Amino acid sequence: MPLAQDMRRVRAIIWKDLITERRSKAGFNAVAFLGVLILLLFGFALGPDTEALRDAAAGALWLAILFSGVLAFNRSYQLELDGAALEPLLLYPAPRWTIFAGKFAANLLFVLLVEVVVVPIAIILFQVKSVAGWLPAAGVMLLGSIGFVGLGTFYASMASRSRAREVLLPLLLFPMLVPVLLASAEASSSLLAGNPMQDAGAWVKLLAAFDVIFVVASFLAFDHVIEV
Amino acid sequence: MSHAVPLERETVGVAGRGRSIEWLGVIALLAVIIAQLNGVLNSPPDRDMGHLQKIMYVHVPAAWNAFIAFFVVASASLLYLWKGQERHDLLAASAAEVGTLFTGLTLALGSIWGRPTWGVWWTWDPRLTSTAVLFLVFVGYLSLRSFVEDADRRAQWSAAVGLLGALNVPIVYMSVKWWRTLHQMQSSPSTVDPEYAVGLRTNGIAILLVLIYFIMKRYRAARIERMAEHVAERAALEGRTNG
Amino acid sequence: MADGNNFVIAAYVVMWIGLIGYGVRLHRVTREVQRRLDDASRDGRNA
Repeated sequence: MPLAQDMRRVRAIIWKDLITERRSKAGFNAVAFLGVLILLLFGFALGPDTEALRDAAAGALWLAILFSGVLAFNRSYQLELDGAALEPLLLYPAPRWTIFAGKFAANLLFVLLVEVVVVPIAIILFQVKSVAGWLPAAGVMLLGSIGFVGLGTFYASMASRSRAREVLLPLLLFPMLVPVLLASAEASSSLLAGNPMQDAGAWVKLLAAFDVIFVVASFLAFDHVIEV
Repeated sequence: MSHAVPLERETVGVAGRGRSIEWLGVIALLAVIIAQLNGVLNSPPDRDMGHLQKIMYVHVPAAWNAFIAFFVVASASLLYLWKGQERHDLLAASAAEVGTLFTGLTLALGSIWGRPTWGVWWTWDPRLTSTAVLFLVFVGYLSLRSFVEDADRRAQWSAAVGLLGALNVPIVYMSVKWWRTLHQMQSSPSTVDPEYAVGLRTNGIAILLVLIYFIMKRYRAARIERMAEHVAERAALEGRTNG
Repeated sequence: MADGNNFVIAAYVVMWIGLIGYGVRLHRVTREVQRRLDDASRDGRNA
């Protein structure tokens, strides 16, 4: 199967997932709003001292993204499950990785859009003094999101099809997110505290390595779990 | 899927091994009692820790064997994905259940040792933290199994989850180590003084016998359970065809 | 350190409760599945 054909399928799946998402704009709004709400709760739980808030900013931001983001993952399979469309999708002679790639890309776009809302709010609520470079900060958000979404898309392919999916997804996913969370929070922390990239540099490299490891592993494992 | 071997012979094969497994259980029990008595009575108090050092004789073997169990889960999962034989899946599940026990014990005993030694019930050091993550991975693995009814699906999904979980543990260990170094935390004091190595090793081997006994017994029970299900399925099918 | 001794005792007690407890559970599970197999085999033969 030529690569161009596969890429077309990936694009088709991305488009399908996003279109249905747009029709239910409520989905995006709800998740983004939940992210903001979680930030607020963290503020109440950890504040009001400015120093304490500034120290906690990166951690609270990433946890808000994680907790609100998991809601998106099960939903990305919900469409197929509700319409019993998963079997036809599997019967179609396309390599399985195109399904994973399509859902991964759609989920990533979704999470990044949520972050566009949540990150500025976090900077405001947690009284972050200055950001050491917006481009590096955006880079860290992207890298962290890639690891998060890669693993989330994989585990959701199972959790969405089993009982107790709301609790099973976090239960399976969160232990796996420890390295990505650590690296993202540490790198973000340096940038939000106004430190130059040098401090965050090592963590960014580590984060990139984690992304490669976990996304590749998810890719490979997806074949085994989507089939059965 | 059913094997070519007639079910009756299979039943005897697995069910008959029950008594020999129990002998291992008795030997393991004796080994643990002897190793622990030897450790408690014969080893001198540590310079710094005093008698608290004796907790090492239960904590360290639990930790070693928790990781052996985890290794069995990873290997059996890999074997299942490669060969597709149900018994590898059942072995992985059995090792995961026993591994959960030992990992939980490791954390509890580490806590009990930590409190009088360092004054805290928990530290975020690499070993304890990766053990906690391993515990969560095991629990997640077992939860997944309990929420999936179809045997083939359960086996495939468990194997994938088991392997990814296995991949994660060393990565967590390394990240936490780096994390602590960056924040200039001291590394945990060494828990193994060469003077106590013999005691640790004998206890380690004794607990290994317990681990093997538990896993074999659990595996046998899992095989028997699957067999019962196969027999019931077959009876139902034959009942239907005979009208 | 008398206080320390309490922790040592606690550690060994926890260990033994864990091991014996799980051993007992294993015995019960084995008995249960064996019974299930015997029932299923009996029903299968009678069917």
